[in-house]
Amino acid sequence: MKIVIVGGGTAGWITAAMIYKYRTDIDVTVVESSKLPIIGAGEGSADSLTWFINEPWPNDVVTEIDFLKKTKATPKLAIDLKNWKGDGSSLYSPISPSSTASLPIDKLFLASIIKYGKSDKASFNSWILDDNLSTFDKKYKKISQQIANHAYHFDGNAIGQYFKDVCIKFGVTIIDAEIEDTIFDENENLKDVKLTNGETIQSDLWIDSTGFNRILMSKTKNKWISFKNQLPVNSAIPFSTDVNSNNIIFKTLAETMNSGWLWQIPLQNRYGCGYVYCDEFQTYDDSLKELKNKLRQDIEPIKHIKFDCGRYESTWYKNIVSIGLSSHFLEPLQATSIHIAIFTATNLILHSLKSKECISNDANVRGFNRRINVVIDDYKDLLQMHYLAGRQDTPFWKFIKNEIHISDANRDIIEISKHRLLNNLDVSTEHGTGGWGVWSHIFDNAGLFDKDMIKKELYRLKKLNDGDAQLKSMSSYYTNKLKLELLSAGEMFKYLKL
Amino acid sequence: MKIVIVGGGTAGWTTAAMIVKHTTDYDITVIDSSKIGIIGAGEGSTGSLPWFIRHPWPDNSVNEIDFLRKTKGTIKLGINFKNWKGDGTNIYSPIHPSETSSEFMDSAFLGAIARHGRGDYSSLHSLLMEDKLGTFKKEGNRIVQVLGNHTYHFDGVEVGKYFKEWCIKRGVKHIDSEVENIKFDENEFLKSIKLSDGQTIDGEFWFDCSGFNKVLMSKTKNKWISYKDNLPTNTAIPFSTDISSKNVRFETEATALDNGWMWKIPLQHRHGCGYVYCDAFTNETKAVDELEKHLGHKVEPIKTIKFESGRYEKIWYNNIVAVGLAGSFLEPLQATSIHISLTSVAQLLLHKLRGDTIYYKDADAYNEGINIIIDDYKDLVQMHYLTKRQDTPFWKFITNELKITDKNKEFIEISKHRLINALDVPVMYGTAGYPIWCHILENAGLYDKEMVLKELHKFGAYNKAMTEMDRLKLFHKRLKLEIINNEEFFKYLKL
Repeated sequence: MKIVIVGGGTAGWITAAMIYKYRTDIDVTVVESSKLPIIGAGEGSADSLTWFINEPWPNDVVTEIDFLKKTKATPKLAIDLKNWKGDGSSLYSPISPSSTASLPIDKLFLASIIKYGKSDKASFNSWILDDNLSTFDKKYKKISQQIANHAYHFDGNAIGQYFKDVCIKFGVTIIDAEIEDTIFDENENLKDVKLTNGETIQSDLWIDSTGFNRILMSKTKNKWISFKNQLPVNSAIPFSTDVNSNNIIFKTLAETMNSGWLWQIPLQNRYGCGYVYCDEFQTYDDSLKELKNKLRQDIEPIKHIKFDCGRYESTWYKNIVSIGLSSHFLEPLQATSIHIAIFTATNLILHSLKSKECISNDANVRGFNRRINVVIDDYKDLLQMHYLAGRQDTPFWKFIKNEIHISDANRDIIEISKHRLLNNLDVSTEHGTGGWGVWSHIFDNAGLFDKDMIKKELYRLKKLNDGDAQLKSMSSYYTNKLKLELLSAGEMFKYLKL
Repeated sequence: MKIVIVGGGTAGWTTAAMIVKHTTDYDITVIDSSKIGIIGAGEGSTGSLPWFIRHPWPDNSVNEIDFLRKTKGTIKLGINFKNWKGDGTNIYSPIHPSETSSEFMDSAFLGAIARHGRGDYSSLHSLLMEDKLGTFKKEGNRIVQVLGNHTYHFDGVEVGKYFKEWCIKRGVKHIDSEVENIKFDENEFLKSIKLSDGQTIDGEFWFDCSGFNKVLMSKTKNKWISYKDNLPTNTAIPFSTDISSKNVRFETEATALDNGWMWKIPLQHRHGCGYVYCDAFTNETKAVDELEKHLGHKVEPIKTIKFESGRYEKIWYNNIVAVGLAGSFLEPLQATSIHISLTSVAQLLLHKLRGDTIYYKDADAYNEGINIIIDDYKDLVQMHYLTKRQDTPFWKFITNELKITDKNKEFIEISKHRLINALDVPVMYGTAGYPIWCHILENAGLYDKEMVLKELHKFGAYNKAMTEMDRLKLFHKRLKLEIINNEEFFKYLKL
């Protein structure tokens, strides 16, 4: 079977590498243009990338340490959500949930709220971050995933290159050209693609990884579904600041600003930062001014990105599959973009595309699209929930508080939370969705867990003392054992840069 | 809050016990009638009953061995499907899945197809069933479980009694009477019931566990959704045969017959058996005749049970929840009835009824979830029949005329071009899941050996699959030496 991937950014090269990693029967060609820049905006990931990197590769062409070094990466233990309530408080959204997260009553999570006033102490990741540690085990000299899992921060331009190098080792065919014309047959299947180098190429299946250009998919009748009335931001200003081993903490900072929020991601050579805002409330110049005042330093924007949150109705349409920004875009919160790209590629390569005939098998394609849409829509709701935490001190936040179109799922959730505690059956359990482990902390951030209600329910379910006892044993395990085994963040940072 | 449970069979008393076990501050009353017999048809269960039994009870008041002894039960490693293809072959549907079942490609399952022509040999438990072994070994004087999951067989009448005794000791009120009259308010919320002994009982929340009588739910406007177009059987005649410690096998036998199928379940004092058939193709006399010929001995049916497969549109309707046969019934295949009861009550108690007052809007999401589970089992049960048998009018009807569900149509279509895998199967708390589905899909011929080999090679996974099979073989060999024979375990259970 032949697959042509158009676009050599992060999504394109990850997909190509996945095909080489898992399949022996697919002939892959990547068409990319050395003249077109890549967006490379994604600088953080969810734990699906951790899985992809760490699941053994043929001849060890990829290892975690190699990946970290070459992409100037650092581990990510959590997102630090700062000032989303407008009161200066913070909450971690940790990569590993509490150890009781799969139970109907997440005892540790609830006990953490009672004891500390916030849920994140139910995850070891938060304890480790508060002590400025890493998850690098001193004795075994490797990053441990057992008790506290991690994701990554990396240079968005380097990750595509990293997997391109991997694919070159596997013997991928690369064509350096741009797309000049696309020719569809009478059933709207893409037949020929004419390139600027004069070649015309064919393929059984096409993967559109051309970012916001959506070079192949935009030529079809596939519909774009916009989320702009549910997700309020539409612009981003990425920039860099200095980093050094003294101030390194292995977390993504996500702090609210007057008209959006600011990300700050620690890399080996710099902090990757960016202001995500809504241009209907604040101009580019005012945003820059706000940034300068906040950071007390000059800002040199790398570029100015405009985006429309949304997704295609069908990620897989006829013989084209969109992967990456070409299929959907939410916004940078929770680093969903690479996660959804990996999830989409996995679904395709490992589950749905096992033979050429699968491309025209309607039931197969329908099932695929349903699964992908469930995941994208779940993250759309999750991201919106971040904003519903109560801040209302500027026009932007007033608009969110009073006027934003709240999604049906979120409206239900908010309503339920008035009557009983939310729990793991209230969120999607489908493969690839945020799941209770992620959602629960975002609910907490939005103020949906009332202390008195927690106490009452735990009493009613005979669990009032359980959670507290478990939290105590967690704390003593951390203090007496785990903490002593872990390298400090600064030390690990130096080790990575070697 | 006052909860009233109407019906004291398996569903009624397990519901009461679950409420008492997991919660405090409910006031529970169970109304059952010593004059009305219970159906007690369920004599087998799935993995959810062991969860309920093994999850710790106050003062260790319930434990597995005690439960098995008092319900005259045995353990169940899986189901042995015999002759569903009409060619005399069998296939096991084990409770414990293959060791690779959670990977994106179940390489042991596919490896077993590649090597043996049957995927069920990927589960150690299929191999143990075939050896006529259980999963227990001796450790000094103790008998302990070696590995894996099993579930139970039990006397259907005893399970209700077992939990009744437990509940009454813990203050659950019990009234021996029948429901005579029912009073709803203007919003169709059940307010009170009048009993045949003259009492009137009020309640805030009600469980209808009255079996096929559906004493409460049938008085509401809730709609019954019939599955009779999708599931072909409608009659069951249960009967017993002898059992001895020598020939006991810890499996449910499900043998396809001319007009349906027969179950055979090992209990401590008898085999519980039954013929499930469709009365459009045979009648009781002919069915008994067919059974006697098949078994080579006389058969005396205990009763005749007529049923219609289906479910209520809403298991939770206003302030009534229908649990057990009162809410849904598929047919005995895969022992779904107790499973659906336990799952629906657990979801209700642990996830929904948690506030000071009941949030009735919760019912919509709850029903949606439960309906996904029931419908998944409906699809699963139907898939058992889709083996293309044509040798009798019943099987001809199924192969040529039965209305195939949308989900099953989709499975069949997909399977033409690739192997079905875990993502094709609904995943929710309580659905069957891929490890159960895969064997039934294979039974229906949806795993073509050539395609299996091709896919293994496409993923470079053939060697890994063969390694899995070799590993399993060694493990099996070692375990066979440790596990005590069924006779010994059976005697231990009967102590």
